[in-house]
Amino acid sequence: MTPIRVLLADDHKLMRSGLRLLLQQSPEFTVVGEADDGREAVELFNSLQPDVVVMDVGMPRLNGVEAAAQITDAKPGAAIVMLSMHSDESYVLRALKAGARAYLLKDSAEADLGRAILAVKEGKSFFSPAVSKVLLEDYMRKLARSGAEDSFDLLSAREREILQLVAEGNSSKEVANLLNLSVHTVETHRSNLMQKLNLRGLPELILYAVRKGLIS
Amino acid sequence: MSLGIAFGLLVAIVLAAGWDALSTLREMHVREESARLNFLSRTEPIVQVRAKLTVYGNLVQESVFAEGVPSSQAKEVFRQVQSELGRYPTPRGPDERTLVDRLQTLLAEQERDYNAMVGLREAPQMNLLLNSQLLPAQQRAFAAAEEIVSWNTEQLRAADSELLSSFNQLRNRMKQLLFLLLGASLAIALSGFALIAAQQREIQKRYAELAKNHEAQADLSARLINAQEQERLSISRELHDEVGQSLGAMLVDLGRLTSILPEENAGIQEAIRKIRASAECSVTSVRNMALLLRPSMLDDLGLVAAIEWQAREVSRRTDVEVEVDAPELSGELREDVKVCLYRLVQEALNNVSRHSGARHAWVTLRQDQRQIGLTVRDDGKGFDPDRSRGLGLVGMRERLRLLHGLLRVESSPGAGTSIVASLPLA
Repeated sequence: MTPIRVLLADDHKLMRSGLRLLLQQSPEFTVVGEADDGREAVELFNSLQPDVVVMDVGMPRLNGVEAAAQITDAKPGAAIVMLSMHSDESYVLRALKAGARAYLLKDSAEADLGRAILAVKEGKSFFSPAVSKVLLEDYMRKLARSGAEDSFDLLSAREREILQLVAEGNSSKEVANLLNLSVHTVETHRSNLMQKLNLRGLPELILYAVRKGLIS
Repeated sequence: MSLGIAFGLLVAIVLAAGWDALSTLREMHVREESARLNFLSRTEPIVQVRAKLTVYGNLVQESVFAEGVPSSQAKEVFRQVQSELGRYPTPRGPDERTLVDRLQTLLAEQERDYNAMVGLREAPQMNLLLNSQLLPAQQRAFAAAEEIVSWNTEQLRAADSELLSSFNQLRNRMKQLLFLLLGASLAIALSGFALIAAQQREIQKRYAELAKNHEAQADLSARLINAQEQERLSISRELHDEVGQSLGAMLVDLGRLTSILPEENAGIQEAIRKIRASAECSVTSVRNMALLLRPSMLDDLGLVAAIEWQAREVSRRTDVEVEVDAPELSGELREDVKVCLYRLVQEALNNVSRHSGARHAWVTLRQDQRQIGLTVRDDGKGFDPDRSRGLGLVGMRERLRLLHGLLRVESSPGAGTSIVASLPLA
């Protein structure tokens, strides 16, 4: 089995070398390139065509979110793991909108990086448990204070199932195969649940699932 | 002050002069009256004397030419002449007394001559006496009476001219006073003008100084705000990039170390776990410190993300639930505009959570071609914006002023508070 080719982008050399050493411990991964900033990361991605990009959010010249957006613009579905010091929704949602599928906190990177890379390589999502926890807390507090009903309760069991599978990174076709349904039925369920939850687009759907603790 | 005293003096002089003129005029009137009275009371008896004397003269002549006219009638008329003269008022001046005495003497001579004539009985002798003595004596009496009248007329004329001269004196005095007053008023007016001009100059000088000070202050506060932002930015970067990243790298290394070390080496594993725990603690506090100084989202993700983060932070920490309504802004905002708006939101939410007692707050951001508008509204207890001017509002105004923006505070007790800011984008 050939190892997964990883591009590391972080302006902090100490952090980068720590991550590289971490990945080199495992034969599953090989680090093919390292970038100092977002612009270099985009260039290296284009020239090296790595399987996965591990990218810091805050970088000089071009920050991680913008770089991720440029990479997924050029190659939709590119596998990107976003590294960040922040568990705030602003970061998570914007990283998701930029096309990242995994969001890791730096202080738990060494525990989760391998799993995150494997997940995005498969087209799945991954979030640091601490991020899920913060998002869930914000969500629950808001519900409690506004006195609104948890719209999750409005979903049928099938819709919940489909919500989780889509959030994990499965396409409608894959979901249809997994659940033994027609693609059309899955699409209908999917658009119904989006409407019930008032979600616009896949990034918001993923964020919602993370908030609800459906994926991590 | 001295102008007031001068003006008071002026008024006093006018009043005194007026009083003086009035009393002088009154006195002149009294003098004129008494002069006329004197004249009338003195000339009237003399006129009577002359009239009776004429009658007397006729009677005397008749008694000479037509014998039989009783002499008693002439005597009676003569007595009347004397009694009329007796009515001439006393006290008399020396000249006057001489004149009146002379008339009396003449009358006495005439009476004596008449008595002598009546005693003669002989017509030619009587005629001779009449022509040589009585008639000339009568003429002399007339002349003496005339003298008394003209003396009195002279007195009246003298009194008149004296009155005229004192009236002229009064007029001159008034004229002088008028010039004096005019001069004094002019002097007071001029010194008043001078005083006003001096004060005007002083005011202008003060105003210029004030404006200069204000400018200098504004300049200073602009530099202070900029310096503060720069300082925060550099400390925050230092904390975040250097300290934070080093700690992060240390955590990764420690994790790697744990996985390399054999499981059975429990003592060392435990030690590493403790180091990890304290490093994680440090990462958290460094991150929080850095965010407090300068949220990295402002640089990483832009203004809207930073405001959303701030809103969630306030929602997490306090009892206020903050909602943000902000479209992703078109184009990159200028650095100073971003920082200004972010600090406004931060300060406004800080005020909301500390003072308003609100349960909800709403942050709204709107952008068009020319300006960007920010509103922070809450459902708290509100306040009277004219009465309380918190330091926070002053700071917000100052930040906005530096970028030519405006701040409006809409609030009243019980009705919540809205902070409305607008910034030109040109």
